[in-house]
Amino acid sequence: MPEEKLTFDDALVQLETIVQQLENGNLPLEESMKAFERGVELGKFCNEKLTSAEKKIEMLTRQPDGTANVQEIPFPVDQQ
Amino acid sequence: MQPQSLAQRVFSQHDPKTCWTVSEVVSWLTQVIKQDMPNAFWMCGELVLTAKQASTGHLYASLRDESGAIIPLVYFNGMQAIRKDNINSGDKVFAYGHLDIYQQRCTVQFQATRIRRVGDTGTLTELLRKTLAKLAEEGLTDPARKKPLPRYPKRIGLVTSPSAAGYRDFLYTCLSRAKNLTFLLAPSKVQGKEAPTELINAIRLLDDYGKCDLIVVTRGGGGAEDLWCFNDEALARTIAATKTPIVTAVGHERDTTLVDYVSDLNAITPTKAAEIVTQELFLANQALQNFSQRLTRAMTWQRQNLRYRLEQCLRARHLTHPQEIISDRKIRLANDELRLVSALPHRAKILRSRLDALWQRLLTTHATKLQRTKTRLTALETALRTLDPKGVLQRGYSILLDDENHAIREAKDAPPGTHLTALLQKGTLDLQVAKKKTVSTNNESIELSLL
Repeated sequence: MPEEKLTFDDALVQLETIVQQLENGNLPLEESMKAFERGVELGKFCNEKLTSAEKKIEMLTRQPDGTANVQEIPFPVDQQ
Repeated sequence: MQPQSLAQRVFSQHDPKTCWTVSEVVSWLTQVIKQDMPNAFWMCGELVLTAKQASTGHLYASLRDESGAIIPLVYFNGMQAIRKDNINSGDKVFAYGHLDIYQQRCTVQFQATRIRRVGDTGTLTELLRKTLAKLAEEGLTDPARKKPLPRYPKRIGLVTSPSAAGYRDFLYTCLSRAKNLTFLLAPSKVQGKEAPTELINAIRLLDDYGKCDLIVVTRGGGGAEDLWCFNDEALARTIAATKTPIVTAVGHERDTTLVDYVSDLNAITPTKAAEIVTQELFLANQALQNFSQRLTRAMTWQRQNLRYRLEQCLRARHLTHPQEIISDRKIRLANDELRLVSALPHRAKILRSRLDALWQRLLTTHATKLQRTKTRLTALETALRTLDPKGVLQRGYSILLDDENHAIREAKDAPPGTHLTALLQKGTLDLQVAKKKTVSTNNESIELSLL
C-alpha cells in the first residue's frame, strides 16, 4: 500500500467509501474481506496520523548563548 | 472535516433517479463553505446599506470593493451598533463574522457580529487609531495576506504566561478535542512593561525554531491596562511578520487589541482559540471513529449473515443425516415394488371381469334371440295348423272336389249330374249332384245323392 503518498483526507474519504460499500452489503465475501482489510489499514493509517504526536508540553527558552533549549514540563493542574 | 458523502455519491447521467435534491445541493454548498473558511474572520469593504431596512433592528447590507465584487451582509441587531458608531452607507468598514448560506435562496451571505469603520478602532485611543491606520495602510491588516491555519496541527506553539488563566483553558480545551497534541510553550509575561518585548522574543523564538504548525498568543481577560501591551506596534509588526500561522486570543469577548487586526486569526477567548485550532482534528477524529465502528459493524453483520445462511444449509436433513438419503430411496423402491406387484393381479382381475361381462352379454343376447325365434316358429306352426284343410275335416266339415280336384265353392259350378268326390275326416265319398235348389241369387244349394 503506497501510504507515503496518501494524505489523511484521501485516506478518510477512501475509508468512508469502503464503509458505505460494506454497509450496502452487495459485495461478495472475498471482496468484502479485502475491502474490510483495506478499511482497517486505512483506519490505522488515519489513526496514526491523528495520534502520531505525543501528548506533552515542552518549554522553549533561549539560552544565554542564544541557542534554543527545549525541555518537557508537567501539565498544569486541571482545576476544572 | 465533514463526511463527503454527497460528493462521493455515484450518479449516472442516464438515470435521473440518482439526482440530488435541491436541499442536498444547498447543504453541500454550505458544508463546502464551512470546510474551507475560518469560523470567523474580518472582512474589509465598502458598506452599502439596502434601501429598505427592517424594523427589527437587523442590519441588511452588502460589502463591496473597488473591483465591484459584492457580498450580502447581515448583522443581527446591528442597526443600533452602527448608529452608535455613526457608520453610514458608503463607509469603508471592517466587518467581523462568518460566511453562511441563506438556504431559502441559496445566497451566500456574511453574518457580521461586529462592524468597525476602517481607522476607527472603537475602544482604542486616538494614538492607536493612528497606528492601526498606518498598519492598514501598509497592508498588514489585509485579509488577503492572512495565512491559512493547518487543518491537522500536531505541535502548537504557545506564547503566554504559565500562570495566566488562559494557559490552562487553552491546553485542556485542546486536549478535550484532540489527543496527543504537543505544545511548545514559549513563556512570556502577558502584562506589564516588559510584556511587549518578552512577547516579541517568545514569538520570534517559536517562529525561528520553526517546528510548530501554528502559534497561539493568548491570555485571559483583564482590565484595559492589563491588556495594553497587546496594543504595542512592534508586537503587532512581529505578529504580522511571522512565517508560522499565528492566532491571537487576548482577553474576553469585548476586548480588541491591535494584535487582533494583524494576526492570521483572531479568537475572542483562549477557549475559543483552542476550539478553532482543533476543529478539523476534532471532526476528523469523529469521522474516523464513526467509520471504524461502521466498518467493523458492516463486516460483522455480513459475516453473521453468511454464517446464518451457511448454518441453515448445514442444518438440512440430508447433510446432517446422509444415511437418510439411502433409506429414503430404499423406502421408495420398496413402495414401487409393492405397487407393481399389487398392480398385476388387479389388472388381471379387471380383464377377467370384462371378459365375464362380455361372455354374459353374449349368452344373454344369444338366448333372447333363440327364444324369439322359437316363439315365432310356434306361432307359424299354429298358423300353419289352422290353415291345414284337414283341420276342417276333423271338425266335421267335408270338401267337395270335382274330377279335376278343384274344390267346389259355388253351387253353379256343379250342375246336376256332376260327379263329385267328398273328402271326409276318414275316407271319401263319390257323389253325383241330384238337383239344385235356389234359395237366393247368392245362396244356392245343391242336393247330392250318393252313388
